[in-house]
Formats: sequence, C-alpha cells, structure tokens
Amino acid sequence: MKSCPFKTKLLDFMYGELSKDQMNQFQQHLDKCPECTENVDRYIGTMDLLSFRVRPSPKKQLLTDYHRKLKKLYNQDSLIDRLLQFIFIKPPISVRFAGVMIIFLIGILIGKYGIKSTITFLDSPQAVVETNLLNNYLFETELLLLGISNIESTNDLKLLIKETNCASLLQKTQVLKGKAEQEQNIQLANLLNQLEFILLELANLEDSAYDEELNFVKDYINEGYLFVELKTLNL
Amino acid sequence: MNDRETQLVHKAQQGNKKAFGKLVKKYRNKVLYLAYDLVGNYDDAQDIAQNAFLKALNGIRSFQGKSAFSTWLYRIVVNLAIDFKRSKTRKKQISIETSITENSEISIENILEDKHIPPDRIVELKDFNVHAKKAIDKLPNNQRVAFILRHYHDLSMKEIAAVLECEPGTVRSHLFRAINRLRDELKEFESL
Repeated sequence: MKSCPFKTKLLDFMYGELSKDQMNQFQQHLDKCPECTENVDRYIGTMDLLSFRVRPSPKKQLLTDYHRKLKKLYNQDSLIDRLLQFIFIKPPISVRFAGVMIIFLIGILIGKYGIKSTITFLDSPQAVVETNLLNNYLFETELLLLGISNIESTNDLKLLIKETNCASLLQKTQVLKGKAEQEQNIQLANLLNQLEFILLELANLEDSAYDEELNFVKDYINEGYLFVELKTLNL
Repeated sequence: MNDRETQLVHKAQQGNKKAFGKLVKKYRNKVLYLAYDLVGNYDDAQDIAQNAFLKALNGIRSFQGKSAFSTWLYRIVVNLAIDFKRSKTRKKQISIETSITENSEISIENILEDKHIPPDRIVELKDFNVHAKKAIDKLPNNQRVAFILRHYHDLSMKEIAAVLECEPGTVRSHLFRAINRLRDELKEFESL
C-alpha cells in the first residue's frame, strides 16, 4: 500500500513548524485522510503523556556552587593584575619600545644629575675610612707642597724633608692611587701620579743636587697647578 | 542570535571575559538542565556544564557564527554528555545515580506536593517519571538527544539538525522513532 505523502509533514504539523498555508493544507488533508488522523491522535496522546514528565530541580547548594565555579571562568582580573599583565606579560611592541626609551632616559638623567662628582668612593664604613685617609693625605701633601714652594735655602728643604715622613706619604699615595684607578677616578689618579713623582724626587735627593732638585720640584708644582687640584679635591 | 548576543560573542572572541560572563549568565541554567536531561543526575550534569563553558571559552575564537551561539554551545554540551555516558560502565552509572540523586536534587514528590496534587496521584506520577526516565535513557543517542532538545528545550527541528550536524529530515526520522519507542515503553501509563 502506498504511504500517504503528508506523513512526512506530520511532525512539523504537530510541532507547529509549518507555514500558515501548509498548516491549512494539512488540516484540510486530515479531514480526508483517516491514516494521518489516526497518527495525529496517537502522537497527541503520547505527547500528552510525556508532558507528565517532571524534571527535578537541583538543590540550592548545588546551584550556588555551580554558579560560583562558573564565575571563576569569566571573573575579570583586578585593575592592578590587568595593568601588570599589560606591562609585563603581553605588552604591545609600542609599549615595549617606550619602556626601553624611558629606562634609557632615566639612565642618562641619573648619570648627569644623580651622581655627584665626589672623592668619596662608597658610603660603606670602609669607604668612610678611605675618605678620611684620602683627606688626611691631601692635607699633609698640601702642607708639604706649600713648604717646598716657600723654601729658599737647601737647609730649610733638608729640615722639611726630615720632618715630613715621605716614605709614609709615598705608601699612602700608592694605596690611594690603586683605589682611584679601581674606582676609575681619573682626576684623582692623575693628581696622585704627580704627587708620587714629587715624593719620589724628594725621597731620592742627593746632597750635591739639592738646589737643582729644589728648583725642579718648585717648577713642577707650579706648572702642574697642583694646588688648584688639591683645593678642588680636598673637601 | 540577536544583535546584543552577536556583540557579546564578538567581544568574547577578542578576549573580553566580561562579555563571556554575560553569555554564561544567560545560558548557565539552560546548559545545566540540558546536561541533566542527558545524563540523569545533577552532580555529573554540573561537571559537564562547567566543562562545556570552559570548552566554549577556549574555543570561542573558532566559532564562526554560522549557527546561533546557543546551538554551538548546546552541541558542546551534547557531545560532552554523550562522551560521558560512553565512558561510564553501566554498573558504575547505576551506583552513582542512586547515590547522587538524593543529595543533589529536590525529589519529585516534593515538587508535586507543592503543586497541591493529591497523594495517590503523586504515587502514580512518580512511578511514571521513574519509567519515563528509564525509557528515555534507553533510546539511542541521536534519538534521545533529538527528543530531549525538541520536547524539553523547545528547539526547532532545524536547530536540532544544527546541533547534531545532520539534515532536518534526519532529525524528523529520529523524533518519529523516539516517540514510537516511548509510546511502546510507556503503554501501561496511557490511562494517566
């Protein structure tokens, strides 16, 4: 027996998924087709029966837990988290470039204005001792140079050298020179070099050459502007 | 999918979690109930629903908008629920269902009592619900999914076809068979 062509439209009719015209057409067909009418009645009966199915509700606690867990999925990060993420975790190339430039500029500014030109090596206790040593040394050296500049006779020079412990000053010079080189303090290292030269000359003076040596040292002191440099450094 | 939902989906695709949150809020209960209808208890349904949203969050960039967002989301839920059912042995499933049901859901009696239904009628309806649940559970996957989506989630046959990724004609066929089977299984309750 040939099946009714409207049979395929039965469910669409039951679920109301036909257009208005198709619905009217199907309705008219039902008046003429006992097979489709019987099927429709059967489906209506079954659907009515299935409508008695009740879905139990979840308990409130379960629903609250479920909503809370889901919230973790989409909860927005705090403003600080987002900012840190933007800056450090996934910054765009422009932000990275700007960051590098800012760090570079800060470096220049610190170099230019932040670091004081000073003879203080460091701020540690050791540095304080070294600074005191340097200042004492410069003070002693300045006195020596002043004395030499104002001496006229070889006897006075002999007396001055005797009173001044040139060997101790030389030792201090070498220690401080090493430190200045380590700290790359070129100005101080140059001055110490000149002072070392004078001290070495004084320490190795020969009796026969006192006058000649005295004049040489005086000239050296004056030409090298050692007093000016000493005044600049001896804070 | 309305304009507002399209906008939310678009924002969520660009990584806006707030927009995704709004979509979650809109669909969280529907997804939970669909998962319940498919697996039969709220504890497993809750896990499936959470996984579905996690999958949706991770895969939202791949959503091309060819179907509605809800259809895409329901497809994820359906696939997870089918995988879940497959992975459980029958023995385990029964023990979990009986132990969990009491803890996670409000009993049918309580719901019916709240509707002021007479006690003898409550007994009949409870009995029917136990049988109906078993009958629906026994349906082949595609028939069960098509039936649940049409009858309890009000999806059109076209939408169900999009969820199951098949032709509407195939959905019609699944529904025909599902209804005929259920009619046979629940014959004893015709007088209800």
